[in-house]
Amino acid sequence: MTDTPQVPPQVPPQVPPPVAAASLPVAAIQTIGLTKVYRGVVALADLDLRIEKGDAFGFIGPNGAGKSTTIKILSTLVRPSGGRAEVCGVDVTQRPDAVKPLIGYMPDVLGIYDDMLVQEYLEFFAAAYRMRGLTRAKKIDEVLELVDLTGKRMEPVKGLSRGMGQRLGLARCLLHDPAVLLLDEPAAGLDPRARIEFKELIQELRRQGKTIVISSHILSEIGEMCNTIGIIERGKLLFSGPITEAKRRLGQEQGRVVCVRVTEEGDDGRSTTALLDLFRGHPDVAAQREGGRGEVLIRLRDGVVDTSFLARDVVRAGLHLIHLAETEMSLEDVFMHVTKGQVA
Amino acid sequence: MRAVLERDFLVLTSAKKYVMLRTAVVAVMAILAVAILLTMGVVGSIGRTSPDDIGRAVFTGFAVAFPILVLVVGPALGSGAIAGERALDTLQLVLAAPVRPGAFVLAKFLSRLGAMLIPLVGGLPIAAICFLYGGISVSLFVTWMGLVLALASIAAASSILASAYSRSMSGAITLAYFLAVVVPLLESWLSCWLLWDVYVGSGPSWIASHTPVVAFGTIIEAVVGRGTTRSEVWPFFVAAGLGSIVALALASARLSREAASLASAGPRRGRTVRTIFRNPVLDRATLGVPFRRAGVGAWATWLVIGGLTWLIPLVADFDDDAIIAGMNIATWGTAIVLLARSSQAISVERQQGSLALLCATRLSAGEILRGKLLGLVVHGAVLLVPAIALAIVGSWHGVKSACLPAWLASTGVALLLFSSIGLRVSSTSATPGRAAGMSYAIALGSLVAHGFALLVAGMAGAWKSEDLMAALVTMSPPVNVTMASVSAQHGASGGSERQFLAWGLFWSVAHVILSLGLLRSAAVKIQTDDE
Ligand SMILES: Nc1ncnc2c1ncn2[C@@H]1O[C@H](COP(=O)(O)OP(=O)(O)OP(=O)(O)O)[C@@H](O)[C@H]1O
Ligand SMILES: [Mg+2]
Repeated sequence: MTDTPQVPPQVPPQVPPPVAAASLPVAAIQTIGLTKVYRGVVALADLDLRIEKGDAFGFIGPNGAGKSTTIKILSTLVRPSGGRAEVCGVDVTQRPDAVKPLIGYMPDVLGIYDDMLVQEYLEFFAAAYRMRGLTRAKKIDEVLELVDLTGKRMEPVKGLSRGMGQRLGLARCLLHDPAVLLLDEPAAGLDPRARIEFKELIQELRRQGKTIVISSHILSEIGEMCNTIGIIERGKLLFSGPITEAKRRLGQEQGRVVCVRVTEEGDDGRSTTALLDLFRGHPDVAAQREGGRGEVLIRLRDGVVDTSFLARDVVRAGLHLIHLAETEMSLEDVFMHVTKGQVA
Repeated sequence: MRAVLERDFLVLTSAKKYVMLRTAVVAVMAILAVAILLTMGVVGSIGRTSPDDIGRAVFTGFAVAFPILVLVVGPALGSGAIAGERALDTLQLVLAAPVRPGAFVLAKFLSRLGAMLIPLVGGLPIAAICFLYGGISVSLFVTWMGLVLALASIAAASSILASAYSRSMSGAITLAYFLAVVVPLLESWLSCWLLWDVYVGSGPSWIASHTPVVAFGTIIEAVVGRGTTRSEVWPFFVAAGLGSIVALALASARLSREAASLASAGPRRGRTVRTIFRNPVLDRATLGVPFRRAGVGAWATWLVIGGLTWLIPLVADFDDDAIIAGMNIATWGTAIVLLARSSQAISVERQQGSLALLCATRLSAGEILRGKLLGLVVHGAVLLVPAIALAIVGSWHGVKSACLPAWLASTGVALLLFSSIGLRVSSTSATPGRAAGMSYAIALGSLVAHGFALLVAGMAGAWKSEDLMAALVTMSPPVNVTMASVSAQHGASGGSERQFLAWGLFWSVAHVILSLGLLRSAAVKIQTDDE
């Protein structure tokens, strides 16, 4: 995982979250005080979210956090109990008919008609977006090509594998060329190759200027596909902003972590133990633990900038230093740190 | 098997609202009957009501209410048993577990039977009031309970059979009602016609003697012991028992062959269906009519309804009344099919998650609903083709040509009402099974309630009061259809027939208004599909 999100040159650099939203250009998605209560269950509590146009926004949070609820509200399917939600400046409750053409919604269930062929299924939804004649036929060819299902065009939808169904769902929500894609766990069920292709597809869609919201539990994927994330737990937004910012902030709070490897694999861990002993109680080290494969992860105390003492001490102790580098904060680290693991 | 039984029984009875509703319906119907019987003074024929008569009145109320409820609720409960699991893909899980199909089917059967009989247990203390007054012997009471049990067993077993053989929930429900209600009904209808030649007069008394209630009424009369001996119910018990066993055996045989049939479902590759309508929902809703990806079930339904439509006229050499009877069979059959289809129209989409997709597109709720409704119209029209052909053939045989428009108009109203009920229920139901059960309960309930009112009115000697008769009879759409075509055939000459026509017209307008209201509210419900 790299620290710099894979932002294509066309996409404007990420601006930090706004102070006064009014002075900014229209966001792709904006919610203000969004609240949803399902018969006493609070699914969303006062959610303020802003996603800029052209962003790929990873929406993460534990089960029951409210991700699907937010996406459903943005797709005009669920009415919020309070607050406002806008897509490209259009209010979802007041003008749902104007919002619908703007969004491509892919739910966490497949929603497939098992008495149709792939081609018929897409024709059905294209007609539902009032596309007719040649435009429709051309668009269907195009999206089938895009999701690599051209060969399955005449197959019954029921016979598709789960991953293919998932791709068909994606094709469906691209039919009407929406500006905003709301994808609820889109990568579930995809095989490794399809996952990579899916990632490329997302990049391609971003290049086309689309805003993409992806809810997912596969954090490494979010890390690779998205430039911004929102972390939600029990209906509350815990963090929202660029991934780099999330990692930086976590780094500040938790201190930096350095990974040290001192010997080849297969020396039955004696040198690892020696390394652990070496820095136990060191004034600059906050904590340390074994990271597997002969690695030791050392968390430095806040404000410690100079890491040269590590290399010096290791060499002095007569250990063979193989690898010493500051570790990358992973999205998992961020997630585990920000959320408390409470299931709503 | 224990696990399946326990789970199903708990699920079926956990919706307290439904159980209470069922019990309440029985109680209300029974109390109503008792009240009417008592106020009309029928029971005390000499003008003075004796305790014996009160006891008998209370008993009759329950004796009538219970079997009706069993036959209305039973098929809806049973038809989800296997088809529902198949739709949810949980059937595979069960079959993968070490459960024998026979045991599985038996568990399904017993849980349904139990759920059906809960209101019986609840109602027993009230029914037992009759013992306070006397007039009812214990053995009579027990025979009656046996009758209810036999009916419940038929309803449960035949609907599970339907469930085992159907690919979709709506198919299962239609078949279940067909087996549990329509077959006995038609059987009595046909046997009346073919054997006993009661088919003499036309008009109200003819209809009155052919409602389902009267069919049960004859059985119940046998129980109460008026005119016939009680020994006549034994063949029925034996037939019910044997029938149930055969049905369950067939169902489990079907289940053991489940794996073989899984692959064959669905459309064949490469065979696209041309779009006809602009509204995609409508276009899709017309799938399944003959020549538009119709499965075996669709063809079978068409053939059965068409066959039954033509059967009586053919046997009766195109006698006037027989032609009308045939046309009305088509109406009833179509109404049952449309009720099933309409109740599934939205609830199935909700269950498979495609309703959300539809609502997220640019289609408005009104367009979605219109598509569904017009799709039902297409299905209905196709099913009515044999009946229309019959009317044309009939006109060569001298049946009044006024009969066809009257029948078409009133059939249209009836089918509109039934479809609207189904769509409205479907728009808020959590599962397709519940939607079907509710729709049938409402539609058949209204039908049966009207027949029930007739029965009570008949017992009360109100037959002579034509006003009451006309008002009651025409309240129920399918009966209204029959009335309209009969009246048109005979020419509304007599005062009573004109009265029937006037009431029929009144109720038709009322039904159309009611249907539009139901459709409107269904559209609103789709739009705000929150929970
Ligand atoms: N239709 C509903 N009726 C009642 N409660 C609901 C409904 N839908 C969601 N909830 C509740 O709202 C909360 C948020 O649910 P939501 O589906 O938005 O979570 P999620 O973040 O998508 O979870 P997951 O990661 O499991 O998909 C949960 O507590 C859930 O129980
Ligand atoms: Mg979710």
